[in-house]
Amino acid sequence: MKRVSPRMFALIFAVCFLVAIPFGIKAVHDQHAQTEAPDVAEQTPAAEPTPTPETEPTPTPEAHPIKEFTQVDASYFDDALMIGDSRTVGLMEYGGMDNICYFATQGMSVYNVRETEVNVAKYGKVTLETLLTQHTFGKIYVMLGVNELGYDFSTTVSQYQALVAQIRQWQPDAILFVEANLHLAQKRSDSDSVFNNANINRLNAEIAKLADQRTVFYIDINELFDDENGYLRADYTSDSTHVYGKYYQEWSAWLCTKGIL
Amino acid sequence: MVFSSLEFLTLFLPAFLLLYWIVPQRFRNALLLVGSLVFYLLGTLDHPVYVLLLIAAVLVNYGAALMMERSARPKAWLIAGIVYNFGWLFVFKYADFLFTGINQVLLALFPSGTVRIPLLELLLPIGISFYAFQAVSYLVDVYRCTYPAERSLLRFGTYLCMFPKLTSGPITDYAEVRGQLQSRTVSLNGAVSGMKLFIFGMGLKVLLANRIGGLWTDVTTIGFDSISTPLAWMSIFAYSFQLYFDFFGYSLMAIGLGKMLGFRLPQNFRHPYLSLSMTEFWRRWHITLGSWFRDYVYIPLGGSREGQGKTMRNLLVVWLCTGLWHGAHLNFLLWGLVLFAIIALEKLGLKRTLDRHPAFGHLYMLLLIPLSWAVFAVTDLSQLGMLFGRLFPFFQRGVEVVFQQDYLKYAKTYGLWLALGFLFSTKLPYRLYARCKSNVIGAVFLVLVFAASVYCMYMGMNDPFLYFRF
Repeated sequence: MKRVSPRMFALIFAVCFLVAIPFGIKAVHDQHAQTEAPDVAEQTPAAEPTPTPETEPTPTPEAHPIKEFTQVDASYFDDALMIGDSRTVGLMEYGGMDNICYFATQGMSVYNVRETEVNVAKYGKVTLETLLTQHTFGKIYVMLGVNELGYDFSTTVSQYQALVAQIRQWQPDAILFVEANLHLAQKRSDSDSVFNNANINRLNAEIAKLADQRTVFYIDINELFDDENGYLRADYTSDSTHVYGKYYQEWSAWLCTKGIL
Repeated sequence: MVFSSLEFLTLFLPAFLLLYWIVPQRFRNALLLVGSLVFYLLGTLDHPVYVLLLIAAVLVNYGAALMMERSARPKAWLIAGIVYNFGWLFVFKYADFLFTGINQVLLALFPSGTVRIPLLELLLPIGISFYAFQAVSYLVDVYRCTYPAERSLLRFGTYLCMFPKLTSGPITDYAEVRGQLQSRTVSLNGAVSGMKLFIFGMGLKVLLANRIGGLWTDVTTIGFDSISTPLAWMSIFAYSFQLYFDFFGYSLMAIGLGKMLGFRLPQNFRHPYLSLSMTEFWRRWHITLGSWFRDYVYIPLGGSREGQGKTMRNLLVVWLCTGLWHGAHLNFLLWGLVLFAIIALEKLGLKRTLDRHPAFGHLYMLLLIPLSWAVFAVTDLSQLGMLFGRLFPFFQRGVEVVFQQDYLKYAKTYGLWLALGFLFSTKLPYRLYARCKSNVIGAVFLVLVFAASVYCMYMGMNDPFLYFRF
């Protein structure tokens, strides 16, 4: 085996560092700048202007009366689909409701939800489009937003709106539940300039605007897990971001109080 | 600043090394001292006063050692120096632990809760556990006339502050470096050799430790009472591997950096997971800490030379202190106590059996290493109880595991990394590397490790070094 002299090694290492330095400079620079949203050109629905809640054709009030939440049992979720990030994965693994169809991965966001292929029980590895065009769901839950906090806010909001509009297009008869994002515990929220409850609440407020209480409903898990100061209860989490596995069953029980018939 | 960060690797280090190699030899200590203080300041920007604490430590210990030699009562200066170093350590690290304990007693006496000591809630200055211990070792050595007190403030300051070992060791006796502080050579061979070691250590830390550690993080997020027994066992092995490769990797980076600057720093790890007994383990794990406790606590107390009773007492003191050094929580005391019990048993005869039957010794350690690290890892005692309840489920009433076969999911994600963890706990990969490190395979390997590490750091998949909070 050919020996490499120390001089040669020195040269190789010098080159390695020269290549790495720009990355270092960029990383330090990025730490101080707001991250740009990922390229969204491919992500807006083709040939469809991004609908805002006002321009969406509003169903006539008599066809869709205002509905109130009601208690339901687990079988209500037999035709339910939940789209979400790692919190929804937690619900899938620890919530105890195996009849729900889950389209969720760690890191899911409104920016990658259309390209991401997820291994969904019963249907195999599918994209969201495949899932929603080839199968029918009675209820669709969307819980996204935390992984997007580092990106431009207005772009995130319009991406979210576009996603909801697209889901409505694919599943015109499904009841849509747009969910508030889970608060962070105080330890993280108070020390993070990006991932904090102020930003989460700002996004949740925009999500809430999408609800019309007729076909689109807004539900807020924080009413179950918040402490008196609006933080995720510190004793319910170890990483300030996810609740312990055992609390997902309470989450499922809470979902049963938010049925729409 | 953390070694495994892009700021250090691509900005601080190249700039410092270039300067260091260019300047004439007589300026190198000054440059190293100033560079180290800048390094420390950049890592403590939120609490810049901590660099003043470090500078004060240099001045006070330098002065105390000189006064020891001139004074008619050197012991007074020794005690003053020790009190100064351990005093700050106590304030930052242990005061709140003590106050919390006192408050619990006060609460029992005064249930209204109005009588209590307010906690200080101070952030621990980076490196204080390491530089305080090195300062004390220096003072004791001067007191014992092992070597004369250092006359040059610059050399002493460089010893205490040099950035390769400032944040997390190795804990280096002054005797080992005083010659090198006076004169050392920086050669191309030495620098290249140091860089290879640095890159290898970086790979262990960034590519292996951080990846395996994800399993432990995932399990703590789920909560110990929601995991299955197989997953509980997988997770404590994951923690054991993360802790080892994190600290071992860091230590290699430190030694490699020292080499690039012309220093030979002491080894900190010698394949500890191959040990046959806990006694042997602690001569192979964090070697410089064990040596410190041996030289400055165990032997002064009498070691094992004054009968079995005193030996046991001395061992107990050493292990309680070792536990406390690692953290100011009850679980660390418990951990120290557990280690003491194991080592005491070994000293009473178990070790002979283990050494004579290596297969049994390895199996014994295969269980004791992750189990003892579990006590170390979990600060909350009730959580620790939950974890042990999952590890040994026959002591618990039937616990329903909601996520059946959770271990399959994690075996899929982390199986390869756990296997690598076992592999890198043996000597095999290191022997292979030693054979290749000066040929083309070695060069390709090191470039790949460097590139992959930079990639991981850039993608922000970087975890703070576990021993950093000391």
